[in-house]
Amino acid sequence: MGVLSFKGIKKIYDGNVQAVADFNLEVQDKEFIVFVGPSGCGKSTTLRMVAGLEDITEGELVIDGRRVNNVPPKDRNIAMVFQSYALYPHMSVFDNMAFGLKLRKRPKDEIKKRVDDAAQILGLQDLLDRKPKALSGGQRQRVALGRAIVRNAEVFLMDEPLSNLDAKLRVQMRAELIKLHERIKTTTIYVTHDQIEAMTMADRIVVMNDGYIQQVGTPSEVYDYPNNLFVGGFIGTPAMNFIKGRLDNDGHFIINKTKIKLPKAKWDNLKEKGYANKEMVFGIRPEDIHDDNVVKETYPDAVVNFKVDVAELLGSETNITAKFEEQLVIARVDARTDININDNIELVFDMNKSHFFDPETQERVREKDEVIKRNK
Amino acid sequence: MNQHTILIHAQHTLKPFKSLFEGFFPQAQIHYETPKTLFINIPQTEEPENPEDLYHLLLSDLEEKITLINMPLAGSALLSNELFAKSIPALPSGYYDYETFLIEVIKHFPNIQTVIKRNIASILNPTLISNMIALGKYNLNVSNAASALYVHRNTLIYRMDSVKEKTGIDVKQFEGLMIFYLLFR
Ligand SMILES: Nc1ncnc2c1ncn2[C@@H]1O[C@H](COP(=O)(O)OP(=O)(O)O)[C@@H](O)[C@H]1O
Ligand SMILES: [Mg+2]
Repeated sequence: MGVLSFKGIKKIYDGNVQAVADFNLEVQDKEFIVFVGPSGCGKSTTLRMVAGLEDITEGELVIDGRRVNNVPPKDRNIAMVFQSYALYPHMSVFDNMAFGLKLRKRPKDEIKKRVDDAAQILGLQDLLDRKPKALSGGQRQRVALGRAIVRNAEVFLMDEPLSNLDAKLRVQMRAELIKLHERIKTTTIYVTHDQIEAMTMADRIVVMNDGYIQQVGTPSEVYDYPNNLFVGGFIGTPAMNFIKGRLDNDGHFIINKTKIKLPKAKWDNLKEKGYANKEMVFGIRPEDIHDDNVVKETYPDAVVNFKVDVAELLGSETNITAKFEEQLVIARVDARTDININDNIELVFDMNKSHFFDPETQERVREKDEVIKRNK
Repeated sequence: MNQHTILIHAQHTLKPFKSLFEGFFPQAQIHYETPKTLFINIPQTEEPENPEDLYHLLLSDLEEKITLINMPLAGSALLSNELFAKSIPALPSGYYDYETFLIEVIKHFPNIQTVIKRNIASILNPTLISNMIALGKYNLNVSNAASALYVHRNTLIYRMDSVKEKTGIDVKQFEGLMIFYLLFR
């Protein structure tokens, strides 16, 4: 089993740096959990507390029912994988994988069996006698994983394991890690600053900022129902657009002279929550801004005139950066080549996909049926 | 030459390090040891691409708090092996490059700070030291610092290299200059 429970975990480094504040999380057996957030938000610190490499200032960490705050790292039944191709250069692949077990004085035949099993899983059987120098980048990375697998640990801890790789290998290794997890199902906590990595790999994502958890959820939950402005802006590329304006008392969002009509359900909810006549931040993802006529005819009251700033053709899509009412907005539309700088174009917001954030609390205003939708 | 020393400290298992080093750097030599700390000289030909990788490897195999410091050979001019070995266990465990390590030592141990300061002052002439402070004042901008000091830009660069050669401290990095700030300003 690999079940972890973080109860009010806090880390204050000496010198009074609060790196992690009130971290609460239940990790299920076999889950692939990704901690994601900008550099310095406390991801590695949290992982190092799980590993036992960093003392826990406050709170409780429970692994498989046992409080481990004071349990030394070797007795926690975890295996760590760090960013690296790093292997012992003068040892064979076999010895690289076996080394941790040798240090633990496991019997020779057990070591051989475990290394052979891991090599089988990773497709390294024919490479066991090679030195790291004679391996490709992807093979080396697999050996690094093999070093963790042979330990039969209950939990894998991975701190940006792919960050040193070139883009192509990174994508390939991402897929390989997912496959590996499907196969051996070891509970994994994976740390990255790369939200794409988080979105593609995680069962659940923990978004962190400034030492605080901002949101915990499946990739689609975090994408479709961001808790706050930070999560909305951090998850997704290009990022969610945030447009400042205010609501009137009649179901419109006003940006200077532009008036956009809200769908009835959205407006009823906002009104009920007291946001009529209030300053708000309107959030909309680039793919929810359209240029085709069908959508324009469906939402005639959400069509807006823009002036084009940049149009980037990216294969099957075009990212249009355009301005209206002094605010820059990015729209992702189907590929088109007929757009030039300073053109005036009409775009339409899919208002059913709109989000409204309270600028004071930074929180997103929840929808009425949201809990039901999210659990579907 | 630009040889390095790697300082390793572990609370429990120091023994395996010796065999490890044979696996990592066959030519390496242990040149000083205490029961919990090893100083290992790495010949330039075997310099690890990234010593932090070595730290991570050791960490994942040993699974205990270890400290690894990557020190240029010139570093031994600043402090005796005994004092280095004494200071390491008191710092938070982890990987340190040389400059960051010195900053931590200076912050934690006022008496060792005095020794380092005295040693630097005896190795470097006062002009070099005051030049480094000026460089800090001009935000590491060599051109601005050089003109404020009425020296040629290349002269200042030469002096920076010479500081590195004599003390191991890389003053082209913010952390390196910070050491001079902490000690001499
Ligand atoms: N050993 C340390 N001593 C003091 N502060 C630290 C230490 N390690 C990390 N920090 C600080 O704690 C915060 C979180 O760091 P970290 O967990 O490494 O972030 P991340 O992995 O998300 O980039 C940062 O402000 C960092 O500067
Ligand atoms: Mg980190």
